Amino acid sequence: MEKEKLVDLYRQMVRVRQFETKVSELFAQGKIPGFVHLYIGEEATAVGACANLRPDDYITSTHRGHGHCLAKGGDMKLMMAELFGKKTGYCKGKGGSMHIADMDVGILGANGIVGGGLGIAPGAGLSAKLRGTDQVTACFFGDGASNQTTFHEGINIASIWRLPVIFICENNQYGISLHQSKHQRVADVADRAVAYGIPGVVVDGNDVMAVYEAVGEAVKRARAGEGPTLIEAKTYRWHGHFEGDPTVYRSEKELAEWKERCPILRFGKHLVEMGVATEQELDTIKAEVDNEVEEAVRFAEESPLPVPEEALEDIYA
Amino acid sequence: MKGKVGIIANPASGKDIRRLVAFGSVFDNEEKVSIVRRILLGLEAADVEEIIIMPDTYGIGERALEGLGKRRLKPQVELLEMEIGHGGADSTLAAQKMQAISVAAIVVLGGDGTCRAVAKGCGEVPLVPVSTGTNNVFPEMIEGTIAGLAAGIVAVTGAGMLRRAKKLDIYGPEGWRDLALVDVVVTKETFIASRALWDMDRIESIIVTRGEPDTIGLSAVAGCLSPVAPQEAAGLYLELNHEKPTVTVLAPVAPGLFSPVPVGTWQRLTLNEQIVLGASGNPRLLALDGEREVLVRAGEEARIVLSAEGPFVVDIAGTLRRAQSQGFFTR
Repeated sequence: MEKEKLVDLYRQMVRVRQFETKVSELFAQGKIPGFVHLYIGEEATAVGACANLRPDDYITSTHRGHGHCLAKGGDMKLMMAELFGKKTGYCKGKGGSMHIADMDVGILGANGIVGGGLGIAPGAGLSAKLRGTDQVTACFFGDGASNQTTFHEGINIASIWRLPVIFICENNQYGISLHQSKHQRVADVADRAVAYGIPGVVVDGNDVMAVYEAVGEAVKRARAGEGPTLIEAKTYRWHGHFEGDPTVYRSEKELAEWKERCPILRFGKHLVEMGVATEQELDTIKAEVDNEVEEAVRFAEESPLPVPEEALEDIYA
Repeated sequence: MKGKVGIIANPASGKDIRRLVAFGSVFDNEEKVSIVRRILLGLEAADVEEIIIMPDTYGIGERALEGLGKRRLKPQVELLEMEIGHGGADSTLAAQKMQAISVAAIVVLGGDGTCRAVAKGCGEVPLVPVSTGTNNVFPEMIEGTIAGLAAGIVAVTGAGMLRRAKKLDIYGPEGWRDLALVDVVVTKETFIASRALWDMDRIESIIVTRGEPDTIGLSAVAGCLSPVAPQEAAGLYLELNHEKPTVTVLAPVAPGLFSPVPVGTWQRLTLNEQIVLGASGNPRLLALDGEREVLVRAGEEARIVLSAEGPFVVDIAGTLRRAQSQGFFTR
C-alpha cells in the first residue's frame, strides 16, 4: 500500500478518536443533549473497512455510529451540529447522534434500533443488484445485534439472493452491560456464517490492516457477484455503552489490557518502525485533526437552533 | 490406571482470512468440543489416570465434559491453572506448564500455527497433533477417538512410537527469535495484518523442513518440485524469481488455490545449515508456518537454521500397531 494511503488510515482513525473524545467532554459539560454512544477503541474496524469502499458504496450503521460516518466520508461539522441539536446538522438538529445519514456519500443511517441496519443492508444490496451496478453495502452491527432476528433474516436473504453485502460484526465483547459469554453460546459470531452457507472470518478488529485486508477480499467477492460475507472484528469499546454508564459490569484490568492494544498507537508505532512516517508527521496529523474538531465545535456552537415552527417538518411517518 | 495426558485446543484456529482468499473450511468451536469429547473417551479407554486441559475463552474442555451428560469419566479431569486470553501465547504457556507437571503426551487441536505455539513450550513431551482445518501440514487429519487412544497408550505403557520433527530456528541480531515447524517464507509484506499469505508476487523465498506433493500450503512448492520427507535429514531452500524463473511450479498453496510459482534456484539443506538473510534497505516479514509473524527491520540481518531438534511427535499408527502386537486391546 502507498504511503499516502497508509498515513490516511492513521489520520482517519485519529479523526474518529479526537471527535469522540471531544464529544465525551462536551456531553459531560451538558452541551450535547440526548444520548451518545462512543466508538473510542474501535476505530480500526470502521476505518479499515471503509477504506475499501467507494463513495457510491453504502454503509448501514448503528447506535454507535460516529466512527462509521466519519470513515465513510461524513461531514464532521454537520455531525457535530446534529449532536448539538442545531439547524445546520445532518437532520436539522431533530435526529441527534443515532440518526445521522448522508445519502451523498452512501451513509444509509445510524440507527437507534439494535440490529436495524441488518434489515436495511440487504435492501441496499438488492437495489444495487437490480440496477446492475457493482456497488456494495457494508453493514455494521455488534455482537448483541447478532442475536436479533434481523441478523438471521438479513443474512439469510442476502445469502439466498447472493447480494453484495459485507456483514461486519464489531464484537466489542458487550451487549449493553452483558458480556458476550452471557448472551450467546458461541464465542465467534463468524461461526454462524456456516448456517447460511457463506464464508465467515474472524479478524483482529484493533488492527486496521487486518480489517482492511479481510473486508477488501469480501468487497471483491461482493463486486464479482459471489455474494455476502460475514466478518467478525474482535474489538473493545473503552467507554461505557452510553456516556454516563458507570461500567460496573467490567473490570479495570480488562479495560487496561484492551487499552494496551490501542489501534491508533499500534498502527502509528508500526508506521514509524517501517519508515513509512516519522513521529513528527504523526504529531502534525494529530494537531491538524485537533483543529478540524475545534472548527466543527465552533460551527456547531455558532449555528442556530431549529425554531418551534419547524417541529413538524420533515416528518415521514 | 496410569499416566497423565494434556490437551491443548485452540479456539481461534480455522477462522482466518483463508476462508476468503482460498477455500478453507470454517471450523466452528462446537466441532472442536466434539473432537475433545472423543479424545477424552479415547484416553479413558486407554485407562489414563489423569487428564489436564488448557482453559480457553470458549470453554472447549468444560463443554466437552458437559456434553457427556451424566456419564462420569474414570480419569480425573482438571483444567490447567493459568490466565487466558493472550492468543497463541496461551498455547505456549499451557505447554510449558504441562511439561512442568510431567504429562506423558499432549494432544494438540489446531493447525500448523497452534502446533508451532505448543512446540515453543513443550520441551521433550511428545505431541499428538490433530488437524482442525484444511490448510495444515504438521497435524494429522485423524479421528479424535484414535488420537486420544494413542496418547493414552503413550501415557499408560510408556512404549509409544515417537519420531522427532525438524524445525527452523530464526535468529536476529539479538539472538533466537522464533521457530517454524514446516516453513519460513520471506515476504515483501510490511504488515502482519490478517497473517495469511496468498499473493505469490509478494514472496521472495521459501525454506522448508518438509514438503511433499500431497501436502498443502507454501511447503507444497517444495513438494511439487523437489520433495523432502518429514523423516529425511534435510530441508529445501527455494528462491523465487518473478522476472526470469528457471521453472514454474504449479502448487496447491492454499485449500482450492493453485498458483504458478516462479522459482529461480533451489537447493537442499543439510541439518544445521543456515540461510542468511542479508541486511536489506527494506524491511521484510517472515511468515512462519503460513502466518506472517516476524519482522526483519531494514538494515537488519537474520539467520534461519535447519534443526533436527523439533518436538517429538507420536506416530499414531505405529503406536497402535505396537500396542496391538503386545495384546493391549485384548483381555
